[in-house]
Amino acid sequence: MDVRSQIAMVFHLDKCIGCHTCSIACKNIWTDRKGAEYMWWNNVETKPGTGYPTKWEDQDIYKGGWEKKNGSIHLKGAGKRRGLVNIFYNPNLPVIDDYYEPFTYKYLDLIESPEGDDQPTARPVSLITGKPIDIKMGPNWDDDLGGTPDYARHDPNMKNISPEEQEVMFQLEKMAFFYLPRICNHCLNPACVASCPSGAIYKRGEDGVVLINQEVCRAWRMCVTACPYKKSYYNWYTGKSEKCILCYPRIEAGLAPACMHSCVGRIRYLGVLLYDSSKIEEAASSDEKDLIKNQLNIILDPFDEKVIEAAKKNGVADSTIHAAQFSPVYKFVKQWGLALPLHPEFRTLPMLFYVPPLLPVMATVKKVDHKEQLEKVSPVAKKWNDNWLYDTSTKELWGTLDQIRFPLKYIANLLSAGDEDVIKDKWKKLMAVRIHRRRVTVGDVSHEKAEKVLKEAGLTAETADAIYALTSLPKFEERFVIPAAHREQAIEMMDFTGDTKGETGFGIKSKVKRGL
Amino acid sequence: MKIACTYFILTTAYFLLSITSVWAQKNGETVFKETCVACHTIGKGKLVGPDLANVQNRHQQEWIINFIKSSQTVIKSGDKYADSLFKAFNQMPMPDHPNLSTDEIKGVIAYIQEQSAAPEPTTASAAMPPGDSKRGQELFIGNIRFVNQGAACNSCHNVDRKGFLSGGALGKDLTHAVGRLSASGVTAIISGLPFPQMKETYSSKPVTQQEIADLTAFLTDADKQDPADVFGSVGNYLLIGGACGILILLALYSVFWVKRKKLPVNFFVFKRQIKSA
Repeated sequence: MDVRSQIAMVFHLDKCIGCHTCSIACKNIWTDRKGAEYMWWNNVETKPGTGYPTKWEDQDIYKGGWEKKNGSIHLKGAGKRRGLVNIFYNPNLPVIDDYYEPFTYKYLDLIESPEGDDQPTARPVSLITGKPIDIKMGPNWDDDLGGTPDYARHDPNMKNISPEEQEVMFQLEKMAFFYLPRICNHCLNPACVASCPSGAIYKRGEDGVVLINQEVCRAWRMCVTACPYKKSYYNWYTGKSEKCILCYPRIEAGLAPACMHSCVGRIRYLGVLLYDSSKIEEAASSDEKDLIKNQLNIILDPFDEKVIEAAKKNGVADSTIHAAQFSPVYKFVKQWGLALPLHPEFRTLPMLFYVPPLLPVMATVKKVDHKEQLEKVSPVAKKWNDNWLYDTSTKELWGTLDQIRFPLKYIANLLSAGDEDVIKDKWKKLMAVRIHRRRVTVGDVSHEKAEKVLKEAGLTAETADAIYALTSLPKFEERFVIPAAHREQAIEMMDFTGDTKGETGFGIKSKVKRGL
Repeated sequence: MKIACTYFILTTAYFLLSITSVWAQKNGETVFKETCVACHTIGKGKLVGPDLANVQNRHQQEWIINFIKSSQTVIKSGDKYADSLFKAFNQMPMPDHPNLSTDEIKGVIAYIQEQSAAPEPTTASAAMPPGDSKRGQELFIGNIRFVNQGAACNSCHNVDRKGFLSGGALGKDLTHAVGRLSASGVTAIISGLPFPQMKETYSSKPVTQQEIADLTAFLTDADKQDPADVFGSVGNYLLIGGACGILILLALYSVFWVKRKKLPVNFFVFKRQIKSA
């Protein structure tokens, strides 16, 4: 057992309101620079939709992630041999049009234009060429299912969904969608690290944050291809690749990352997981149906004496073990089994987990004949010509699960490599919590029914209350359990801190050659 | 102090020695045989430069002195005769001789005058052994080393020959050297080393008589060859071959990267959009 610690995350999709505050917080801190304008280390996508960059999930186009061949896993688009052959010409790179061409407006023209017959306008100019452009796209162009139907209808997660089911989704497209906020997953088996010919990308030992060393990066851009989530970006101005750093300077100071700190819906949770790193390869190369199970098996119980002992032997700090015991991520992922990794079939073992959204499930859509009903309506009233019934009744216990308006398959394609039973299990739990809490607060559900529901979902009343509490009422310290970074000890390993004591910011960064 | 003293004495001695050697007068015969004989004869016809017999009667002494010191200066000053002379001899500039004193040049003129009256029988060219063109070629491109380890000719000179690598561009192109200078002129240049660069290269590693003969034979052959034989077909082959090569490479690339991402994912969406211009 090789125990290491990882700072992991949970995003609760039911709580996301799609406000993009996280994206803006991240952009303002990290990517509002020349060459980085098009990067969104954090972005929020509307699902169904094609996302950013367009169709990033379609690995037939972008060749990201790992694929299993002859029992072991290989990078799909990069790797040793293929990477070397294509080192001067990477054939699968996304181009700027796959993201979008960043733009601004010539605002000064509004103020400085000479007097004339027409109102001055602020023309859009490209932030890359500086010349006026036609804006073709933005990072969330299909937000709230806006824009052309090309976007949502070309969602790669639509595979294996029958045309009728798709039609149902789009009949209701104005109501049935949800948001998917994405940042770097800081994977346990990161394809970007494996693909880098320069060895510039590494996973930090102490907390598992994946970083690109800007001094070592030589812009081969293999990581851009290799990352199946397209979360490594090439900065055309500095000639280096960049990615989400999980705000490690903030984490080291005990603050939550900017995107999580600013989250309006409070959907984000961050905490430590202890995992067995000796089993990573085994888990990543397991069969597709066992991927999630094996990934979760790597994560260890932080209360287990043996785990604690092994962790200490590996140099995991006591404070980190302590944080792992209070980790909200551990609760969501392991204890309650509510959260799932995004696209586990990419085999990178992502450390960002999503609680699947129940929102589109709670009602059903049936095809009914409205003729009789319509005849009763006054001839002046507006009549709806479609034959769909949007039914929110909860008379049947799991009835809605079997006739949901949002195909189960879609969520399964997104979060469980197509395994519908996994999603069904999570949804049952989420619904059971709601039915239980409805009994407690509203009281219109019978005790027997609530008990039965909880039992079927495999929960107890206490667990359901705990899930409810951490979902709906969490305090800041409960959402973000950040271990102390012990920077002082890390620094002392390299330098004698007495040398700079009392400098209070005054001093010289580089070594001085003069003097003694 | 001691070191400084020794250093001072040594440098002074060296300085004095070098001055005396520069000032040392050489008589006309020595100078002529060291410097002029590579290109000029007295009464034996033109070589690289004109026959100098009775040159003292054709020109003013002052003109001759200026011409010897720097021929190009005289030509550029607009002297018509000097210009016609330059053109008559293949526009081959005569090297400058700034280190010859006026007195020495006068000595040379006196020697020429003396010799013009009673020419000395010469043996040098008559004694040349017969040359082997094949061997000359090998010597030229450096496949056979010169006996005295001198540098191969093609490090500085080029000869256009079929199946031959291009030589250097520092020295003159020697493809038609024999046509320009005659075989005896070429022989005289290789043996006499009138050019400073060649003197520097070969004076300590002299080329033997046999080697000179071989090289001259080779250059005579090179001069006689048909230019079409050298270039005609090769030029076309290069062009056609290059074009074919590019096509083959492009075909290979398109096969090799046939699965590459050819268009932006949104290409057709963007294509539909209305454009302002």
